[in-house]
Amino acid sequence: MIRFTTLTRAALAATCALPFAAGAALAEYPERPITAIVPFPAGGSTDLMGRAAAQEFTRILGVDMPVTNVGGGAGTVGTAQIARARADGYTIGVIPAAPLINQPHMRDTPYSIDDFDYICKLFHSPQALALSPESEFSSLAEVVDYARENPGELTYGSPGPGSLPHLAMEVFLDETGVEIEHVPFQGDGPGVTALMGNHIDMYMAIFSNVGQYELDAVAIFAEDRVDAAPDLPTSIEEGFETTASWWGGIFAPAGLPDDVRVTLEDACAQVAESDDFQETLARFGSFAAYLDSDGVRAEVDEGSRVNGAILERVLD
Amino acid sequence: MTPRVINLIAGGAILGLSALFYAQTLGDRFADTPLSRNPMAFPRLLVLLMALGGAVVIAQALLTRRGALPGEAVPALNWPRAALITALAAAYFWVFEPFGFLIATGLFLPLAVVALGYRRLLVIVPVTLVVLVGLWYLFAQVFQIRPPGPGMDDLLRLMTGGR
Amino acid sequence: MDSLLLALSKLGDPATLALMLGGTAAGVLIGAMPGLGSVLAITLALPLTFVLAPEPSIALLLGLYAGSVYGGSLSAILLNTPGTPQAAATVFDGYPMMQRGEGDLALGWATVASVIGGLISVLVLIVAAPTLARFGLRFGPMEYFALGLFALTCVVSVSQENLAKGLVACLLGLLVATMGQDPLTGDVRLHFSSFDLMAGIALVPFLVGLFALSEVIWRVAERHAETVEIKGRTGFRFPPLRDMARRWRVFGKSAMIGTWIGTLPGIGATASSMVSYAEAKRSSPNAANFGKGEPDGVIASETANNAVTGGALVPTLSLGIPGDPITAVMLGALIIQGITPGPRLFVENADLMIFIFVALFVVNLALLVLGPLLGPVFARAVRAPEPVLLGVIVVLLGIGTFSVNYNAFDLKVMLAAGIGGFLLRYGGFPLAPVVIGFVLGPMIEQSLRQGMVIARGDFTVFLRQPIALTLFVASALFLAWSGWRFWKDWRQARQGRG
Repeated sequence: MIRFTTLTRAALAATCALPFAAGAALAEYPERPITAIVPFPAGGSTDLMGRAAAQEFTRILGVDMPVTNVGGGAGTVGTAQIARARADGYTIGVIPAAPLINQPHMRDTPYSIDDFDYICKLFHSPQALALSPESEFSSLAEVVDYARENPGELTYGSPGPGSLPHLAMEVFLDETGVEIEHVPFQGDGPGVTALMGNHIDMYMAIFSNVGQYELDAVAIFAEDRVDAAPDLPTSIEEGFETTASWWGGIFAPAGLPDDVRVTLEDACAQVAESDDFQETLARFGSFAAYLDSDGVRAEVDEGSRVNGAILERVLD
Repeated sequence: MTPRVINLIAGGAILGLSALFYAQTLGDRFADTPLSRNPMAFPRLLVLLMALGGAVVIAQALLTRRGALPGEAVPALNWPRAALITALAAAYFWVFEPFGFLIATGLFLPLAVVALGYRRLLVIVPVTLVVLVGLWYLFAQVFQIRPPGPGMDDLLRLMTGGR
Repeated sequence: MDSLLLALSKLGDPATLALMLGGTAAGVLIGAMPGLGSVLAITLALPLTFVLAPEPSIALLLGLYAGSVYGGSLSAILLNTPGTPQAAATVFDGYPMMQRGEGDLALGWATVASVIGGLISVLVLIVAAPTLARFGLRFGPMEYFALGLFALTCVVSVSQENLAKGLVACLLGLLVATMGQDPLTGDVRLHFSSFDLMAGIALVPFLVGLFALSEVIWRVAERHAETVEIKGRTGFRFPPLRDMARRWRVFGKSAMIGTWIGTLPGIGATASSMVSYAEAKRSSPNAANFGKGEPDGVIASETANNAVTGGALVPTLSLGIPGDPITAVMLGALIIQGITPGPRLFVENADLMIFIFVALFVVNLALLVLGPLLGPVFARAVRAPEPVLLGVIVVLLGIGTFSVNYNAFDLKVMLAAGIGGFLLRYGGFPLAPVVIGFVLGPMIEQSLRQGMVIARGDFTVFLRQPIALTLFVASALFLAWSGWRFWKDWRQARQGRG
């Protein structure tokens, strides 16, 4: 009898509190499903990361985590929705870096990087430069030397203006001081096709795509070689400084209650260590890459500063 | 309205729309950008062509005998009813997210059906209930896309909790 | 032969068979709901494929794919609302047939066309996948631009009475598509300082509003003004075999167009059914009846959009490059299964390839059974009292459109497109060119400007590519020919009156 009333009360409280959940610290967080917003359409790389992470969060936190895809505007629409959401821990975002560190420099976004509580960095995939099948270059240095002697003659493709591969290549061009023309495509599908058909000279791609499309990569922009392609030299080995990766993590609207934030941070660390999660990511050529709240915040700040400067130069 | 008047208004509207869009392409930010890198070049071309089309429509209206080409007919429409359903749909879409799917639809569907001249409550009420419950479960449970606002599960909890 | 038997025995497995047929039926239902389309259907099944073996997963996904493409035609014919963007061209003649009381026959034509289109594309996939994939690689920005222009010329054929109005409608579509982020530089433009507009106008709310919502408003306005009662049998009727045989040319040509355009990444089924429709209208002996309920129009659209399924799998399987967002999700599912599509798939995983072919074949045949079963159910629902039906349709449009991106702004886009579509109809502007412009615009602009970057301002490059040049000449000839015909018709009409 007593048990019954408690249950009923809890149910009532939960229901009534639902629309005003901000102050509802009645029960231990989390007590109902947590919505994970992915700011890209279903089926893309970010969506796959989000769904893999949601599965682990569900296991760890014991509540469902349905994924909602909010596509459009190069990720800005969904990211804005996350920033606008109630900061109660029941709406979190699985966001890749681009809508945070690139897009705010390209348009007026209704959010800035200060509008989020950074839970953790969770996944990354290094980027690699792939050459067209007819290309005669055999190393990154040869590409740079040729471009230095023939400025503006080579072309490189990217999955879109303001995408992480685009910015990575521009950072690299900035470092080396050479000129290679940018030809953006609408996603990797059309871009990789153009590369394989020799319509462009090279393509900056997330490493996972290099394996998937069996592209002819010349260097990987990372500190260390990756196990999946042990023969692929790194940009550092080739004597350059630029490293670049496609990465993202779990971010929430700013102002989470402390206990909620700690719970989410702990859960996120566990997700990153989970074997299942790492295995799923590995199938897509990506890796779990954990950084805690402060670490990822610093990376976002740094990325936004560097890419902001690059974009200012590229856009005008 | 005669075909001539309609075509004159349509042509004018196209010209107005062209002007509106053209105003959006102004500004000297891209004045010295090469054509391929100028975001405004292509829309501007389209706007100019569209304005040209609008001018042709106006010319046709003025120069042809009926003010329209052979085969063009003016449909007889009941404008108040068109305005009514448009206003109802607009209100529905506006409150869809803030009120939530169940409340917004529960208000809109019976209201729209009655407004369109159908008064049999014995049909309207069950249809509304079936649409509400059926669509909510279809989207929330089968498609895994939870409609906005309070859902059937909250309602059930409220009902069992209130007892 | 052994692999064929092996594939058939795997397909005969009750669980696989059930998943495939269930997937096809579910696909038809999802496709028939305005707003929900193939991408959602396949994404829904993704979690399931995590736990299933490769063969059942593939059977399920292929069923959902073919089923959802076909399902779009049901609402196109019965409600004047394309259930999926791919079925937009089916509306033009499918709905007039329905109004004439031949809805059952229109469903029959759509079903037969979908099946034939699907089957032909599977055959092409089996015979020529690697060849076609290699040919597709020769399409660079210049070729895409030429193809886009060529496809755009079909606006001329779908503009009914007034060419100027057709062109204005097309330009409107092109212009709306440029709103938002510039595909080449990433600058935002034509956004009227609204953050929502900076993201651009999405296809689904635009299309659903333009056709479906404007149809609702139109029907409400038309009643009482002049009572239009939709008569005719509800149900499903297969067209007579003799009629089908007579129209073999339309079937064949549309299937080829659909398959071929499907193999080119980034163009998609919507554009292909439009091109196929325009081509059929150009060459059909019944050209005068197009837009007034001509079965050839339904056939052209439905054959082509289902043929895209096989075509889109060509680069997906043989190169590992998805042809559209739908095959991109399927590719993800295959990778989850540990299968890497690509040139080696044909050699290393020949058994699996043959299984895919056989499954796709069977899925298309299944439509022949599911169409007559599910079609009448929808047809009956459409017979509800009109106020109830229209009210429920608005609710369906609302939740379907909202769910795609979970974005309330899309509802406003749909409303604006609905009012705009209504006004366009009233002013005698055809709606088809608006969609054609909207769908092709981004591709045309982007490929043109990509080409300009690659050519560094040397425009003769566009004329030195053999494929591009052929397409340019074809476009020019077609325009000249239709210009001449328009002039002739006009003179005849004048003389007839004078």
